[in-house]
Amino acid sequence: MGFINFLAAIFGAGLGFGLAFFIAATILNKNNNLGDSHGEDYLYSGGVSFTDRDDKLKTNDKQTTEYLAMHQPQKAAYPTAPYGKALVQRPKQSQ
Amino acid sequence: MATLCRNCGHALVFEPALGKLYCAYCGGQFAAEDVESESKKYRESERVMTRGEVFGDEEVVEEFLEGYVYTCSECGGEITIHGSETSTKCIYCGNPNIVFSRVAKEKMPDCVIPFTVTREQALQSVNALISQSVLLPKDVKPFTVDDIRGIYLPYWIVNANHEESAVVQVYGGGGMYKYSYHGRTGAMTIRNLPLDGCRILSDEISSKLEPFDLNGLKKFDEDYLLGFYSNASDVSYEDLYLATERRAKEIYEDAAKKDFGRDGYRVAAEVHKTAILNDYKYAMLPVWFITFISENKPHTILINGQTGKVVCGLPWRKKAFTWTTILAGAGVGLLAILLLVGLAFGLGSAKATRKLGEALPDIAILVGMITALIGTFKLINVNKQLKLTQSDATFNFVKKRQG
Repeated sequence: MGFINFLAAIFGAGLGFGLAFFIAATILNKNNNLGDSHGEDYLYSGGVSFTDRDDKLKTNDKQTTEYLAMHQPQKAAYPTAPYGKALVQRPKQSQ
Repeated sequence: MATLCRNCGHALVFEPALGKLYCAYCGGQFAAEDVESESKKYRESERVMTRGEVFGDEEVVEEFLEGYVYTCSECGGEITIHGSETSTKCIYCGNPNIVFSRVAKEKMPDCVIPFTVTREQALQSVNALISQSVLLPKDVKPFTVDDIRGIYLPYWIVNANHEESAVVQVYGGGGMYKYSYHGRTGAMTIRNLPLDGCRILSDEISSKLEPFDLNGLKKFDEDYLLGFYSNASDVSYEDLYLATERRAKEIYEDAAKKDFGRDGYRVAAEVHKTAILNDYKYAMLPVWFITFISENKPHTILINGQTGKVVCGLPWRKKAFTWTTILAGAGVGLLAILLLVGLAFGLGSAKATRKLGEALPDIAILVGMITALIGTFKLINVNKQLKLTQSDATFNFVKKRQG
């Protein structure tokens, strides 16, 4: 009977403190952590359009490397922003 | 002359509640696009000077006195501006001043979202949120504002294309510790992503000011800056690319998650290419900054000047949190112990009740562990946000301005 009481105390205390910690942290997060969110994805993107899906990959590295090598993103064929340490300027056409 | 009232000749300021330029002296109201600042064409070539250039002995002066010198267009007083400031107030006459050379010609922003949230509304919403928050240190309630400033932040609004090929490890489906590998290749177009162009402000805190309603964008007119502070962009193309790439990857991976229909996955390997289209726009977006000191630490609250969204982590008393948790934990724990002991010794003699009594310890420890784990993640979030609010860089960004 003593052993059962001991076990009950351990499990009961674990449940009690876990639950109490969860409730206290939830209340703190809700009331003191304000505006912790970004703009939603749908505001900036219409979603991903997948061009390839392969659900039969094995775990080995060779296959992973091969898959990535076969599906390398292509270089952009349109005008892109410059790159480098210079400060960003408005694009010429909008000046 | 600065932008003056047509009726009485006093300096105009932009009034968010009216959405117009307002003369505090005679009550005159004018649309920003209808008013032309007469001094603009004379002053747009006037460059700001370093203190060294003004006072001589550049090396010595600049070591001790940072900042630039500009002359007030109203009283001729010497205005100190820091870094990339583009508008400020004169400490002598209080009139708004715009550093035209930083917002004219090729440096002129394309567009601006004018302030719609007034100073009073910003303060009201912060006060309301503070009255609901818990475990605040005693020096925060009642809330005392150290400083409040409306600042137009420089943003780059970019369009980009993101292509990514990834091998994804998906957990579950055939046992708790089993996972499978999947290849996914796709492309995504990003439209109108606002990225802050201020090097001092962390991207993490400025991105939390989103969303801005870009339908509210107006063609840039420097008169919208009157009465507010503002900064010009000081980020490099590399900074802009890295910020775009980081956000694009986040958005792509969140969207890709939906393809698997669950959260339990990790990108094992990937190759990607992000390209910013050459049609990005330069915009000024409105933000209120409220600073306060608590327990000798600086804090800065940010408020979206268009939507009123408040971003901050409020300080909390750790000792009080610990004791509340211990006392509540002891209470709930005691109830759980009584329940477990009661069930173990057969409060009911029915077979089902006895079976429940046997299973309850496992359930109790599992629930205890899961709730404690979720609680820990929430506490980490609270502390992360608090750290951003206590950033010295953000506090100094606000406090260094004069007026």
